[in-house]
Amino acid sequence: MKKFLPAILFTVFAFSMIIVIMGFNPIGDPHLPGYADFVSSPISKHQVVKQADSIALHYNRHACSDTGAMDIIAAIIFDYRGYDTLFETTVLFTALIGVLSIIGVKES
Amino acid sequence: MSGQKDKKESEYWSGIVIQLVSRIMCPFIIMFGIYLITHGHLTPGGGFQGGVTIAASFILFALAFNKKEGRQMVPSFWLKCGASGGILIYIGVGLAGILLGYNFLANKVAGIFPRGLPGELLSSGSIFWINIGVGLAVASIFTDLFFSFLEERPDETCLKTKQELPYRRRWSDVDRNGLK
Repeated sequence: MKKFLPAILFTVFAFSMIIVIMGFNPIGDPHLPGYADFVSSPISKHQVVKQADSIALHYNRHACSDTGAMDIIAAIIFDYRGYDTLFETTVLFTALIGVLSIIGVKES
Repeated sequence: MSGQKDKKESEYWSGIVIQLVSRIMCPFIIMFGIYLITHGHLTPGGGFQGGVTIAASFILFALAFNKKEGRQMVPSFWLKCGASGGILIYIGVGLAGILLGYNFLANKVAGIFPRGLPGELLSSGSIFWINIGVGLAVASIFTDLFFSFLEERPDETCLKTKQELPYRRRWSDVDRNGLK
C-alpha cells in the first residue's frame, strides 16, 4: 500500500490538473480582454496606448464598486490578484523554514 | 569561562542615547505599523508594509539593547505561531468563499464579510481581514529571520559530527568601541 500511495496521489493530482487546464481559455485567443485589438489589427502606437488605457480605465472605474476598497492598489493586490499575494506570503514563509532548517531552532 | 560568557551576554550593545531613543520610539513605530495594516484598503500601505514596519521596531529594540532583551519581547514560539497563523487567516478567508459555494477568495459575490460604505474602516469585505493576516505573517517572519540569524548555532543543532568548528565572529563579540 505504501508503495502505491505516491502513484495513486500522482494520478489523482494529474487528472485534476488536466481537468483544470481543459477549462482554460485557448492560449493566444485574440478575443481575450488583455490583447484583443493588439493581435487582430496591425500594431500602431495609437492602438497600443488605447489598449493599455482600456484596462487601466476598467480598474479605475470598477475597483471601488467591485471590492469596496478606496485604495485601488489594495483592491488589485488583495482582490483581483489574490492568488499572487497568497503565494508571495508563502514564499516568505518558505524562506523562514529554509533558514530555520539550516541554522536550527533554539530549544529552551 | 561560563561566568565570563554570562557577563558578555548581559552587556548592552549600544550607548544610553540609542537605548533611550529606541525605548521611546518603539511603541510609536508599532502603532504606525498597525495603522498601516488596518487602513490598507483606505490609504497607501497594507499588510506587507505594516508588517515590515512592526518587525523593524523589534529589530531596533534588539540592536539597541541586546539579544536577551530583544528575545523577551518576542518569544520564539509566538513568532512561529504568528507566521503560521497569518497565512492560515489568509487561506481561511479564501476557504470561506468555497464553503458558501463560490470561488476561492470570493469577495463581493460571497458577501460573508461586512461590506460597509467605501471609506469606513470595516468596509471592503475580505481585504481588511487579508491585510491583517498578511501583516501578522510578515511581521513574525521578518522578526524570526533576524533572531534566527542572531542566534545561529550550527555546531550544536545541525552538524552531527563532534569535531571542532573554526571560531566564528558573533554579535556578542562586538563591543561598543569595535571588535574585541
